[in-house]
Amino acid sequence: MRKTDILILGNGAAGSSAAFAAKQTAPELNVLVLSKEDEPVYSAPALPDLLSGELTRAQVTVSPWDDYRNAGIEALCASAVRIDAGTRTVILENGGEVSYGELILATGSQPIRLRKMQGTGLPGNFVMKTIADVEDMAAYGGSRAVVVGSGAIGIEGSMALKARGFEQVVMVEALEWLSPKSLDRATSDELKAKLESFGVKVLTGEAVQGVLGETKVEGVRTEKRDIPCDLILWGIGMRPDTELAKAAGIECGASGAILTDDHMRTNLPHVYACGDCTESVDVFSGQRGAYLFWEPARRGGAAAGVNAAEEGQDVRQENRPRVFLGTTPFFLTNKGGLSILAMGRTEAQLAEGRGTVLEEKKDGVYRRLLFEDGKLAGAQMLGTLEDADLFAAQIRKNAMQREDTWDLTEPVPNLEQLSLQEAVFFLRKQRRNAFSK
Amino acid sequence: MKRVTFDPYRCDLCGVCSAACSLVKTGKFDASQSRIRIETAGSRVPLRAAVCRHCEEPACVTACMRGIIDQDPQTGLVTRRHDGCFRCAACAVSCPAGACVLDEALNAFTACDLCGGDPLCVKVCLTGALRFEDDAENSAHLRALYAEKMFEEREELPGELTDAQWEEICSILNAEGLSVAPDELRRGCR
Repeated sequence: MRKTDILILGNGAAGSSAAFAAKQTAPELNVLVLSKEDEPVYSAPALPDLLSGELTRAQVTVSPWDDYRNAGIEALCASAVRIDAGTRTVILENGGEVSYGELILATGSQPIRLRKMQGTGLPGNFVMKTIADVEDMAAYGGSRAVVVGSGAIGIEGSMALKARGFEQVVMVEALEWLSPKSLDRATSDELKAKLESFGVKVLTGEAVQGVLGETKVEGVRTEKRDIPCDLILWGIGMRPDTELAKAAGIECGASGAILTDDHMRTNLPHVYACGDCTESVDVFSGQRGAYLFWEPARRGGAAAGVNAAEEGQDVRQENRPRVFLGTTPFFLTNKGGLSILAMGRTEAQLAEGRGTVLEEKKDGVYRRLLFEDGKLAGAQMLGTLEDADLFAAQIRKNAMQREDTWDLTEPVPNLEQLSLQEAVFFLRKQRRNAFSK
Repeated sequence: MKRVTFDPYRCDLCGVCSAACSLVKTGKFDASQSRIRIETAGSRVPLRAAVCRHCEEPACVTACMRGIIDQDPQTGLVTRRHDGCFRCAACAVSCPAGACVLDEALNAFTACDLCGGDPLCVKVCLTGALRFEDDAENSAHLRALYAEKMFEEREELPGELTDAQWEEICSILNAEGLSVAPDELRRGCR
């Protein structure tokens, strides 16, 4: 049986960050990373650029295998089928076993597929989660695409297919407007106009009912029409991959993702978890959930790596244990002339009767700020990133209301009478004054 | 480590820091390309300098979706490899200092690199608003300042730079191999 001090399941943003952080913290420990894909860590958020042809395969790689070798990290392409936390062993699909000192679960997430819907098993159905997915889609070809869903995959996938030269790209969203979890209807309307200016046709309030075709995808049937197409890109959401964890008795939260403390420890001793498979707090809303983002996966992964390495050594290194205090879920797209940034709560999520919304449309830039009781609770902007740091800090402080926060923000006075720009100036001055007191 | 720090009570919004920065980094005057930007709130009252803080735990390093922003474990300096930046803007959005700039020539996001340890913006700041100092100095300086200025909101600004001061800045730039005439510099600062 193979033995390792630290075993990491998963080699994505979280798993690789954990591996490098663990090795840096305790170079004498063995670190082994298991991954289902035979790829060094690559940037999943950059996959639309791989699809469009703007980036090459090498350019989406974050750390090539040489970085692993130089750091002394071992990597193995293998699927784990079972965790035996009692004997601290992981059983592999090929029958092999690995015993570990500390285990870090970074199993990530899986795209949701509508397996029961007619035609979704035909060739021409694609998701965009891995490099292989993109390469398959590129090899499949075609000139007419339907993109289902209007989240990051839907929006960036549509833009990428258009940039790839597809003549027809139709985005279909079942809900009333685009990305309703992140955007208000007014922002969605602006975004829709922008997408259409890039040649993407946008249909909202139209649920997909089935896939047309006998031997391959020939079209999509919605409530309102049939749309002929060569391929379908499904971007209807992701779900945390927690099968192994649940079978091993690792506790999951209401979101279905693994529960950890702020040191990334699960309820089982010597088992940590990080990244897309874990539940966390959204610091812009204070809500717990499964938030699948690159930055928190890397940050949480690094924390898990440092903590697991220190645990494995039984002594505290000078590196203090890293804590992970929550996710900053930016809804962010900045590609080919399309820039979208949304954070915090939407209008529908503001307490009734206590919300104020300011908006501004100027020179192709749309900005929308949402306040609750005069305090910033959400921001949505198209065509600009200006003041993103100011809004993020304000929304976070207002949402978390932690007792140790020394500069809680004051409500903006006379908000109803202010223009959006005047409100921004107030917020800038307030930040300045918070520093000088 | 030493960082670029800003004292808004001394800044007179002359714009020399941004002009000099864009000149040394891109070869021309273009404030939009400067790695340092003095923020205001609509009036002529300076609020803060948006410039890379080389944070202890930099948000940009973990946010970068290409893994091309690194922090030197010894010096703490945050460095960037621009090749492969796909302009996702994750660094810009997560930076608490608002310090990331989209460099048009590099076609990549970038930020202040402290000019290799001798920042030009600090050298050309004649008012002393910009300083290059380590944390202890910065802290002592700020404590003294805030003791003096506590609760005072600055509304008035000192006058403009004198002709002699423009000349002096030009001679500093010339010493750096950047040949600029005073009139040219004035225009570049607008």
